[in-house]
Amino acid sequence: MKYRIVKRALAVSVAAAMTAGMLSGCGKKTETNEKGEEVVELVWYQVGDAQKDAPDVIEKVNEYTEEKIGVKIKVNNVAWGDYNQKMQVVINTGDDWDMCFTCSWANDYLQNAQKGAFLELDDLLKEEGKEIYDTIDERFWEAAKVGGKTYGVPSEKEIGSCPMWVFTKEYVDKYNIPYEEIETLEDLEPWLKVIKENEPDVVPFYLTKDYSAPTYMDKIQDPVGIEYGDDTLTVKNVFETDRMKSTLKTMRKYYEAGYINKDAATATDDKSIKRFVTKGDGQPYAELTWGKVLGYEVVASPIMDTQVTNASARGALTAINKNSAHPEKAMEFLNLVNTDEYLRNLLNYGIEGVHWTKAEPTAEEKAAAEGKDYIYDTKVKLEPAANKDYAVPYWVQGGLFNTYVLENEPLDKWNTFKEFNDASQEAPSFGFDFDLESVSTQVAGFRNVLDEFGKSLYTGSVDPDEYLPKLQEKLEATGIQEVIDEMQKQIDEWKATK
Amino acid sequence: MKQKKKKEKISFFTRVKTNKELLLLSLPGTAWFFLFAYLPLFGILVAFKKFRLTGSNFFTSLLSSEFVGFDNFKFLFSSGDAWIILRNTVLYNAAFIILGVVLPVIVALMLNELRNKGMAKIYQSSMFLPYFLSWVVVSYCVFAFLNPEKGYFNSVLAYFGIDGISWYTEKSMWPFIIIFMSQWKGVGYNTVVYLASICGINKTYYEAAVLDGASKWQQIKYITLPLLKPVITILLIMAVGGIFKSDFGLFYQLPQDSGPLYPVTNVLDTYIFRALKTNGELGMSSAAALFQSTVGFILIMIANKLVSKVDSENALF
Amino acid sequence: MSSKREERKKAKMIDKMEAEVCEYNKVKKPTNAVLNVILAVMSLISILPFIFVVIISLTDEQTLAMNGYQFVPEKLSLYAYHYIISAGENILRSYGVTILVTIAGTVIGLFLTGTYAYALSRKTYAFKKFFTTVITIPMLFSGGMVANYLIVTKVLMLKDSIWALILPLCLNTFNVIVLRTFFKTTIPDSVVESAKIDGASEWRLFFKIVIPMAMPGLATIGLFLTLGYWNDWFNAMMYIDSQNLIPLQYLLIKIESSIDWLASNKAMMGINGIQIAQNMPKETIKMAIVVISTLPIIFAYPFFQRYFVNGLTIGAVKE
Repeated sequence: MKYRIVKRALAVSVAAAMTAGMLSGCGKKTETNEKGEEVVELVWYQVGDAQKDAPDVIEKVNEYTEEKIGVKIKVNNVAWGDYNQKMQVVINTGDDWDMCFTCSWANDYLQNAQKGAFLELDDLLKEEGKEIYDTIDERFWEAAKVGGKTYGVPSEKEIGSCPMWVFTKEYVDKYNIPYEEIETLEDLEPWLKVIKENEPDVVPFYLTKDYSAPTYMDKIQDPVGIEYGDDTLTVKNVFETDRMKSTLKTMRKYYEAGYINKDAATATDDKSIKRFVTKGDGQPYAELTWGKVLGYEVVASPIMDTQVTNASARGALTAINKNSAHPEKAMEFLNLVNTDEYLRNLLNYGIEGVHWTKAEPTAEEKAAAEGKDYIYDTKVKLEPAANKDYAVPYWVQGGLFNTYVLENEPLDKWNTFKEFNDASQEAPSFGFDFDLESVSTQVAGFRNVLDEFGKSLYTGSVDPDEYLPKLQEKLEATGIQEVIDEMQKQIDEWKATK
Repeated sequence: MKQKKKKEKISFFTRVKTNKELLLLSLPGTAWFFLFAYLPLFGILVAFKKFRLTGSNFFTSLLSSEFVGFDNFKFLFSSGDAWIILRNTVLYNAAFIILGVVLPVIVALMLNELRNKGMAKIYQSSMFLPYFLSWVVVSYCVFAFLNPEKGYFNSVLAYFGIDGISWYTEKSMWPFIIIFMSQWKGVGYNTVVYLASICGINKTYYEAAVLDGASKWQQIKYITLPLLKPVITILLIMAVGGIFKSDFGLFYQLPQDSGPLYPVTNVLDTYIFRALKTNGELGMSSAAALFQSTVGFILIMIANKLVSKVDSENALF
Repeated sequence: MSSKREERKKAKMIDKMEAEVCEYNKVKKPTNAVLNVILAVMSLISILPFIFVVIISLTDEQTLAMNGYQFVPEKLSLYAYHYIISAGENILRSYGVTILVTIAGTVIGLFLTGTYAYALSRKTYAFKKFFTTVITIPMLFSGGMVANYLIVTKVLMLKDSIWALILPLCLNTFNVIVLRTFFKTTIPDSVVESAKIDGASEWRLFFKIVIPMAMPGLATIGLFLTLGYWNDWFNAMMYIDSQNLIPLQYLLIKIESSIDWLASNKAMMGINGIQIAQNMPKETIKMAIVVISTLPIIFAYPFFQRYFVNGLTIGAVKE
């Protein structure tokens, strides 16, 4: 008797679970907006933690876009550390998604495009996306091309990152250091010596395990790539270039002289350690961010001209699913996000009056910014309490240049970014994509070798005379020469078509 | 010939009939295994394919992707370190398998013999705690001890006038640290099975032994351990299947992914992780898993054969 | 009346006898002391990091940044717990999800594991070998994440459902085999046979005789299941999109994995990475989450421990 009840209960609950699942799967019903257009829902995967107030903001967004273009969005946020894994599964399963964030360092743009996950956007960009195609810097569009086709809408922001020496202002002032003239690693030496001799509590050259020595090369497939300025496009192993060899020797010299902290190869940034100089990857106004994190003022000087590479120009894009049911709508939506002032700022900062309020820039500022690009007549004052419930990484959703600047930022911030972008040089390899298919076995071996020796060598913790040959030997064992040859072959072909 | 077949058929049906009730008991579990374990098994195919998104979903894409034989497996052996990595994996696991039986059994016996049962419960509960901390959190705590600049260990050494050790580059210490930490984390959890088994032993055995004048030691040797043998054996057989797999966090997070330690911390799982970090080829990760599983499967079969020769009651099959 | 009294008397006597035997059979006091010392040291080593975590969660953020991890911090602060309480809703809801999933999962899991393992433990079961093979293969081979995702979301339709947190974990080969071994060693064949002769069905046998006798074994599996569910975050990462279905552990793991990822991609992300890292919860908050997500489960152990007493004796069952 009891057993029969158990059985029946089980049967009922299983059936209930099944139908519940089915219903949620087929619950979509068609809606129409006031214009009578059918409203479609687009699923958008974004990297970064979900915000507490996101549902409210998305509701506002939907109100607006539903009316304007007949689109509603559903945003799925995936935590930073899980994004790669989750997207690999979502994309390869052929799950229901329409748009997703992609770039060169998460949910890899190149590989997904090469493997056929994303939709070719070139036709859509002539119609639904014409506006953005015309407004966004053409170099971003060039970088977005894989094999001549475009697979993503770039978020317009800084096009390259610029390696910089970051000095603590206190010591720069104290010893009158002409920091702006310091460029190469070698230029640092006299000042490191000064600090070492006079400031016993200060680490002259503070490095952590994520440090990589200044590299004058586009490492297309780390450690293989093309040196900056090499117009002959000769593929090299970075550890065989003279520049890197001498850099590593200098690092070793500094390490032995006691300029570098002893635990550099394994250290994580310990902010309590006083340092004179360290290396950072910068962009306009980077000093402010570094200073804020450290709690004291810093100044910076670029190590080299900013170079535009595929990886750097693919800092943030949004792609459309190849199997999306509504590709035109998705493009229309992306176009709107990147051109519509109201929508862009709504997504960026949240709801006006709740998460932020408008702030009037001063007349002087306005006058100074007159005639420049990307100037808006309002700034944003964040509401500290509400803002923490809606703080999103801005470039995940769209370009930065049509967002308002924050109250404490210069009004012409985006104009400065634009100037920075225009001043950046294209690396000779810009536009070339390596298809690693035929050498994927060899490439798979690289990371293990690089991680084993890289940090120790870069920080000078080990003697390059002894360890560089070891590194080379292991790279050769994994077949680096085949990778170099293959890349050279591909780049020669690319050059011929250029 | 025909007759023989018929006979088998009949006997199969009768067997079903006589085992009807037990079959019914097996049914819910079998259904689960079918849905959650067997249906997805088709995914193994991807190990032999160059997976491209040609279709509208994984299944159709998989079928239409190009067959590449064993290409996806090559990367496992392409590195010059393949030998060291395999050696590390197997040796660490061998140590874990042996210690994973010996330590928990000893702890379970000790706990069982304590006179003060209240304390026994406290000990048991505290030894369970490490299981709840993730390797990331544990690695922070360990770092507080081993940190070359401010760590407790080096401070103690300095107190005695000994030079500090650069723990995260000095590889000779790490085999010991890794084995210690793995047991530290696992011993409480692993003890449970043995403790429960000891509780399950019929008390009358001990009573009889006491009447015969057996000492505590003799009771353990002649009653407890022999009665634990089935559990020990079965856990050993299953552990052998994991000989090529390892606890990723233990080998990656705990040593802070420090390069100079690779010769003693790089195991198959960390190698695969790093190899596929730059190259998210689905077929390669699948191939790696299939390789690990296949070796494990073969070893389990061998172990099972060996056990069933000696003592068929306690074998897996 | 009198017979009952006599019986009681008899029982008392047996108890007394047993107590004497027990006393005689205990380890000697010095041995006991040695065992206590060894176990106390082991316990201490085991608790130490947890105490450390508690202390760090109570350390002032600034002090932590300056001095690193210390057992005796210069300045204490309740900031982390204030922060968590102020963001309370989320955590409370996650608690709810975790508890629901853990209880439902353990119950379902025990039923599935128990029935399957019992059948395998029966010597007379003709399909023993077949059903053992059925579970051995998936112990080693798996179709991989993508195939699993496809089946769970597209065939079983469990995407973004609480069942996706419960069902994938409720059965595993290890538990079945361990429980099978328990059944085999603790339940004498004679008991099963005599029950069968009395005409009991297998189901009745299982529920009325096997379960009461194998309590320590079932408690072990119950404990394993409970811990498995409590510590699980992977299924949440894979199948859950709704914020209100996120279990406690994933809240924590999400932060850990993100911080780790940002640190290792620092060079690639430049300033952007630094800005994101600044918005991540600070160290002390992370540790406070570790504390509050671990505390409740610590009590699960004593709960199951209660059943680690000798299973009912044969006589008791027969009555």
